Amino acid sequence: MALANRINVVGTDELARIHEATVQVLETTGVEFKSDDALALFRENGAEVDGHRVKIPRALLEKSLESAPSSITLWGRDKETTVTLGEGQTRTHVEPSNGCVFTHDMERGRRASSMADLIDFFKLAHQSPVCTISGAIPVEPNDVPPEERPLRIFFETLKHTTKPLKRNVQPAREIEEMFAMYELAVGKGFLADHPSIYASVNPLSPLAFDTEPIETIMTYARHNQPVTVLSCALAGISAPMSLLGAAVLQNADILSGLVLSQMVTPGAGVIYAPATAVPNMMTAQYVTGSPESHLINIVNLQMALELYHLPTRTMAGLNDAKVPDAQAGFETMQNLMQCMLGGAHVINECLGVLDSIMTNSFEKFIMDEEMISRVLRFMEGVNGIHTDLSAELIDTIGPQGSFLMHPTTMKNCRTAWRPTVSDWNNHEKWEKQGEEDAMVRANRIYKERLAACPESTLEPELERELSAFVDKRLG
Amino acid sequence: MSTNGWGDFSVTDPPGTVFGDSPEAKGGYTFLIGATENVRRLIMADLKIITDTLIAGDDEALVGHVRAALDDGIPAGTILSEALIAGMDVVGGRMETGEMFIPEVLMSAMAMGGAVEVLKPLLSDDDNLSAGKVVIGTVKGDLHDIGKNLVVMMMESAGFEVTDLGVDVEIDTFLEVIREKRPDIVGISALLTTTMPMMKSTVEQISEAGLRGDVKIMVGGAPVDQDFADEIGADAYAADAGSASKLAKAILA
Repeated sequence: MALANRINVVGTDELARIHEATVQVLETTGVEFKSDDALALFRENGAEVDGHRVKIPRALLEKSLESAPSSITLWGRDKETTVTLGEGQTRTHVEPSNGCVFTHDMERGRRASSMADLIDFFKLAHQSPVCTISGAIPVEPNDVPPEERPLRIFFETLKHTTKPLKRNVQPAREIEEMFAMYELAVGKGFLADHPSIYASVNPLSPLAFDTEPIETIMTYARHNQPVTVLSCALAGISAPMSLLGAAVLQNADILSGLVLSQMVTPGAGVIYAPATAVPNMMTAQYVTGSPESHLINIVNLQMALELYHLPTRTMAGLNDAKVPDAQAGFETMQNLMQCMLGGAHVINECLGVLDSIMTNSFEKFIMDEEMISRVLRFMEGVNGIHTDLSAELIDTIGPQGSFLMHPTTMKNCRTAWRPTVSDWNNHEKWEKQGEEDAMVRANRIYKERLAACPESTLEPELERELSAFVDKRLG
Repeated sequence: MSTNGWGDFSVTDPPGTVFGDSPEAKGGYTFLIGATENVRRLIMADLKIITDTLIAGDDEALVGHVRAALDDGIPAGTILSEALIAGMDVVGGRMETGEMFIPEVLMSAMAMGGAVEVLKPLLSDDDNLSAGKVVIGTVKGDLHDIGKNLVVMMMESAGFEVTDLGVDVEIDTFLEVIREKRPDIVGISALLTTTMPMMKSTVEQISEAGLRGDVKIMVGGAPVDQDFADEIGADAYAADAGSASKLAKAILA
């Protein structure tokens, strides 16, 4: 049986009050949409539009919440990797990090990332047992001209994973190209009834959507592909200092994106993604390790899980450490525990990420996998053999006896969770094995993983076809 | 020496050539010298299944296989050294590399104990397979014995004759038993930092009683390390049960 409870920050009554405050913000303050297409759609659906400002009426909001699905089947190119997001999901799903500018490893330290680094992160994600969704842009390939990046990155994504995909905001034309390319691999017309790729879309908090995020929401909805609306407001900067005030603002941000999606295609998947942070108010800068941040986000998770019945997602493994040190460990574990136990269906920014999403580390990727696996195991709760109350066995063994030699112990001793990178040896054995710390062990593990990874997951003919597609588009 | 059970092969394999009384019959697989290929293969198969069953920790099946091997005419000493002790060496190695977990190792050790009981009455004086005598106990004032018991099981499986004095062992008891049993090794264990000084006193008293010349002292327990072992004048320190039996063999070699 899973754990008896999720972490809740507020009671159900408070959720209703937050919802009412959100309706008030959407109806009276409204949200700005920098897109004529979106504004026209809002007008058609009965919203009051004044310039770019849209006042979303309660009825439209409620209708949209009604049509948004409570779970999404997200298909992998390899059908075995297909996942359910939202209600009915059996474990937390995990996405690679996204948006890092630098790559860090033990030997070379921090450097501007290259395409080679990006490919290595794709390979690690594909092989990772905890990572169930791949894609994104774990590090920016600074050695590829910016105009070539979208297609080249997507080509490498398809080459190096068969898992369901996460992508970022793009102009409509690029999204259409990407979907066409994906259907070269899975068959034309596949996407229309197989959600396979979701895009993470950020509102411009507070209460605004820029053109490309709007195009992304609308284009994905037209193709029946999900979006995840991720608000990353900063309490005291782009949201109120009040934690519940920030939760209301963030709720309004996310729900207005959801309404847009449902107006395009009722029933298109929307993943509710609260990721607001309490910043470093000394410098008014974004930081990720505050224990207060997820007091906001868990309230929003509660809104989605209890009131709206939506799939949820949040940035769960963040930290402000510059290298994979003790701070990286404790901030990451704090955030993972809070977000995963708060019930997020999908977690991201949790495989390798450092330095407030500036840097991605190969060694930290391996450490993060273990941290996530620890929490996943905890969340499984007591099940199987562990539900045996064992009174008879206790009687058999008696005072001063040993359970170590009982057959039930031998039979089950391998089912217990084991670490992948933590050292559980005694001091002598650790000394004998070279006194390695977690960084050194993680370095060895990630290199072994990369060495064992196939160069491509594509059939040669398909790979040539996709490569030709990219070359043709890039001239 | 009985060759019962090998009757099917007796036409081509006269008994004396299989387990002859020649010196080659003692130790190693040299007893197979002179055996035909078929017999050789069958004996090897008997021994291998014993080793495999021991490693799998299946005590009931192991006793059955040992009896079958005896029925096939394989000498008890050969079964013990070539199949069982050899198997425990594999278990020890796998424990060290983490391939086997402690509960699995203990099941093998317990199975080993059961098999040895079957063989004991059949072992001759020539089958002097004892790796040495050990007296072991947890020091006065300390009631912890899980680790010490693991050491006992591992040592017994490795062929040591172990006298386990239990927990909360008075120094005088150690001295008496050392005089009586004349062990090769005395093992002293403590879990508590508060009983570590008692380890020191125990070692000192053994020395003062003039018994140090004949025994090696090994110490172990969670708070103990090599530095402490050196400081109190112990001969050896082992960090865990697997290394304890290995170390015991090494210091007697």
